[in-house]
Formats: sequence, C-alpha cells, structure tokens
Amino acid sequence: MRDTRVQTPRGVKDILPKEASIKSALERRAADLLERWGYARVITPTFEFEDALKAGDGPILSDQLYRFVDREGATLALRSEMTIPIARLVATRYRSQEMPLRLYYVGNVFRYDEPQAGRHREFTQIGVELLGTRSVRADAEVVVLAAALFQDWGLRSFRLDLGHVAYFQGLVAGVDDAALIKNLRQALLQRDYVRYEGLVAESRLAPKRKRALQALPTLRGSLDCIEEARGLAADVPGARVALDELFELFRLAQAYGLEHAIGIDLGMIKDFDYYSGLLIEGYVPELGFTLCTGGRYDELVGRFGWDCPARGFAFGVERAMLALDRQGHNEERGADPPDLFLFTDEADAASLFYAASYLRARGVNVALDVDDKSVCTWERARAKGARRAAKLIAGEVGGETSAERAALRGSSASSVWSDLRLVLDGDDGPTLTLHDFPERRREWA
Amino acid sequence: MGLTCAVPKGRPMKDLDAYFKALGGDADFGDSRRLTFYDAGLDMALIMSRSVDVPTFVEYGAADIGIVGKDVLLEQDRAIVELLDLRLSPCELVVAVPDTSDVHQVSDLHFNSRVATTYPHVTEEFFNSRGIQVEVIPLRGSVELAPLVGLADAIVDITETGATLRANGLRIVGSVAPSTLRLIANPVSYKVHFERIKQLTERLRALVREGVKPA
Repeated sequence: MRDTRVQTPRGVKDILPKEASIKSALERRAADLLERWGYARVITPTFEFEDALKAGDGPILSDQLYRFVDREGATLALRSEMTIPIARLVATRYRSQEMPLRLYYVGNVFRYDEPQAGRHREFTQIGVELLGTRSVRADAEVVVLAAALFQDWGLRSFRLDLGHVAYFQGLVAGVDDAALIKNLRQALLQRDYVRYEGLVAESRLAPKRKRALQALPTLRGSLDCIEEARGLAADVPGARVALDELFELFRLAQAYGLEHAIGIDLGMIKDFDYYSGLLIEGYVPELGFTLCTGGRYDELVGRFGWDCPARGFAFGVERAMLALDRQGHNEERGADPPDLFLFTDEADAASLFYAASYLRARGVNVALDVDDKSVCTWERARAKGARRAAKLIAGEVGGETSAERAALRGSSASSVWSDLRLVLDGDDGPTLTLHDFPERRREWA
Repeated sequence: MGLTCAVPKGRPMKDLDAYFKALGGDADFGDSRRLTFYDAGLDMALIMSRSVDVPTFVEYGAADIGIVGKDVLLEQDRAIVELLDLRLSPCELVVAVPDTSDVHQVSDLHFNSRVATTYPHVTEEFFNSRGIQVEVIPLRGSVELAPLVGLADAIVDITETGATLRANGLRIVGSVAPSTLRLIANPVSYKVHFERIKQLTERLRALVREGVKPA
C-alpha cells in the first residue's frame, strides 16, 4: 500500500533549492521585463466559485477542474488557467479605468490531467493580458513581448507561430451541418489530420471549399502561406479579415526585427473556446511541446457582464526551465552560494550573532552555524558550500596563526574584515579568523 | 539535419520495408538486434521500439516522427500529429467470446460481464458509448487466454484474419474499430521540420495511392 504520509500525489512535486532558485530567477526576470513594458501585476485567488472559472471554458477544460465543496455547500474549484480569473477581475473592478489596461500575473494553476510529456497537475504560469482595445497593434505588442521574454530568458532559436480563429470559422461559416463542423474542429484540435482529411473528402461541400479545407493542415510557413490562403479562400469574407490581420501582424513583427522568429500556422486550433481572433504558440526546437500559448479573446470579459476586447499569452515556467536546460543554460543560473560560513568552537554564541549582524549589515551574505554544540572544523565548513568560512575564536587577540592573519589582511573585502576585527577585538573580545577555499576564490573576486 | 523516426519492431516493420526501400532507404532491418540505425538513403535516424512505445518517443520529441498502428493511438491519448494513413498492416479491434457462449452480439453483454483486453481505455469507451456496463480487466498480453480459464466472459483484441481467435475457440461478436499503420509527428517537430515532414508525407501519400510492389 502507498504510504500517503511521505509521498506526493501523482502530477505534483517538491521543488528543491537549486531548482527553486532557477525558477524564481526566471520569474523575477520575467516580472522585471513585463514591468519595464508597463504591465502591472495582479494576483487573483487560487480558488474561486466553479461557475466563475467555467464561464470561459469549453467542456475539455471543465473536465480538468479540481472541484470541492465549502462548508456552505458552494462548489469551488482551483483555477486551471489565469485568463478567466483576470477577465472576471477586469469586468468587476476596472470598468472606469483608463484603457488600454496592461496586466501580468505569475501564479500556479491546477489541472486534473493525465501527467505526461511536460504536463503536470500543478504548474506555474507567467503571462500578460492587454485589454480594452480592438487594435491589431495591441495584438502585435503582445506578440513582440512574448518574443522579448524568450530573448530575455536567453532562449535561442525560439519561434512564435501565429494563427487566427476566423480563418477556419470563415471556411465553415454557412455550412449547414453542425456535426460536421464539430468533428472537423475536434480533428484539428487533436491534430488528427487523417480523420480531418477523411471528413472533408466525404463531406458534400462545394469543391472549392473542400480544397481550402484540405489545405488547412499544411498552410504553415511565412508570408507565402498567407498569399496561398488568399487564393484558396478568396470568396470567404471571414477568412479575408483573418489573413489581413495576420499580414499586418507579420509586418509589424518584421519591423521589430523578428521576421525570422515569426511563422504562420492557419491550421492552429485551441482547446479554449474563448479565443476570437489571433492565436499564438511559442516553442524552441529542443523541446517537444509548446512553451507559450495565447491569443485574442474579445468575448470572454463580456461573459462577466462588461464587454472588453483583449489578448494575452501565458508561458509555462517549468517548461521554460526545461527548455533552458536543453539549451545548456541552467548551470550558470544556480543559486548563489553564501559569501561566508560563520562558526565558532569556544566563543560565546552572542559574539557569533553579533558578528553575523555586523557582517550582514555590510552586505556580506552570511550562513550561520546554528548547531548548539558545534564541533565544526575548517573541513566541515568547506562542505557547507560557502565561498569562505570564518571562525570566531574566544580569548585574546592574536589567537590565530600567522598564516590565518595573512589571509585575513589580504582578503579582497578587507575593509569589512578589518573593521570587524577592530570592533570584535575592542576589549579583548573574541577574534575572527578567515579561511579561503581557493577553488571558490574566482567567484569571490 | 536528418529526422529521427520511431518504428515498431516486428511484423509492422516488415510491411513498411517496401515503402522505405521505395523512398530510397538502404538500412536492412532484417533480424538485427540493433535498436538504432542511421539510414543514409533516407537521411533519417531510425529508432526500433515496441509498437506501444512509439507514441511516447514521439510525444516527448525523442523521435520527430513515428509509425504506429491506429489501435495504439486510440488507446493512448497522446499529443501528437497524425499525418497519414499508410493503409499497411490492416487489422481490426473486435469483441470476441468463447464459441460456447450464449452472447451473440455486443449488447448481450451485461453489467457483470468481464471483458479482458490490452486496450482498457478503448474498451471502456466502446461499451460506455453503447450504454453497456461491463467490468474491464486490463491485461498485458495473451488476452485469448482469459475466457478459456474463466477470467473473463469476453475479450477486446486486435486481429488480422481471426485465425488466432478461432484457434483459441473464440468467436467475433462485434467490431470496435479498424486499424492501419499511421505516420505521426511530434507537434513541435512538425513546426520546426515542416518542409521535410511535409515532403515525406507527400511522397508516402503517393506510394499509398499508387502502391508499391513488395520487396
């Protein structure tokens, strides 16, 4: 039998210091960047009423909700993504604000999914929402911001594929067969192109419409595929709007210097039913799943009672870490070791705390030996991982060996060290001896 | 850069051989025990894996593309792109019962019928969608054995000609789904190597349409 006291449930995991420090560094970098771009952070509750979280979903996502009942009998759920809570927040709290509104978030989301490739039941998303304008330029800002985040994290050869809901919708508009449309959508969503092509071939659509639909899975690439699509869907007004918007987005991204990072994918379909225009998928070749998804969702905020066009994207932080790892980056982003491990053998613990306080106030990162009966040696101190170690010695000044005295005087942060000596040595107090770990000296400088 | 392709070991590979030869492939899979090959003619690294593992290699991106039976894809809900029906290794997932059984059609099975299978998800979905409640017993292999020893009343299994079923005293009472080999791709590989994969798909599509003579 499983011992549920010591195991974590399937699909969640502990994050230990090295990984945690990489993760928070990524989150910090992202937050800094987004704030430089004028986005303000919002934090929404981890759980909400199920009805609020379902306002935006198709059936696929509502199967994935973690639900529970509170003491008053209301059904609550853990958020499974961040865009719906932010739509609720904007619709209820931002009506009178100056638009457009730029918001970002960093938070954990929960999905009752079968854990597999890059899919966990709890993971962290970082993303933005740009609300309150219908402009394509705002779409373009979000696209180039996603690219800026890839660059800022140091991810090489990333790509952002752009799609558009209205292209497929335009092609099936007026088709008098709801079941066929549903099946086509589902086949595209599952990327089951065998079934998709079969459905199109067997349908009773006009030959021209069939050709346009058949081409959908392979309408990928650059501007040329927009041109090809124009030819295929010349008589479809909705599709024309989509292609014009994608063309404009491509042009703006090009002006931003991103032409090689932007691709077009007209067969893209998303599992959230709230998307209404542009679709975004970002990835790097080293990782078999997307790092970033997003798009335009003009009707979602309206479901909470206030119409507000919007678009945004979300990055999976764990996936970004995986991508950085595959590109050989994570090593150099590990946690900073403390500057100094401070211990004593005989001196009073009060001196130890005094010394730590003194050093920390001067910017030295100190890890303190908190063992009551310390039998710490230089050898053990080395194993603590700090760049240096210092030992407080009880009694008269001059207790250290001449070599230790020399190390102390020659140290690069010498003013702090000598100040400390003066103070500690003031009235025959304890004295401090230093030990350098030569292999770590490089980092110390 | 060449693609990496996961292919199933065993008989499906023999069916594929003619296609790979027609595409210019020169690796001779024969009965070698090696699990990876570089095929210079195809400019493709080939990973030989168990059929049920092919979607895993592809979903994680360890292989860019793969070839696997539709039956395996139906059972595993994988985030992969299904590109082409190769129309090879045709077979069928069927419901079968012992010759002596008084079950003559699928709907004769009832709430305490036990169905043994290596396809528990497909089986569950098949019976659920018909409103028939059965107990599904997942097995790893030799499913035909289950009804003979009283472990199950029926099985859901893959069959080509029905010969193995008949040899074990089993009779087909219904069809779940047909299956053939499919060309699949990792979604990101399909983006990154789009031109190459598209070209390969089109060449294979032409072979499927025109047929190749067995090597």
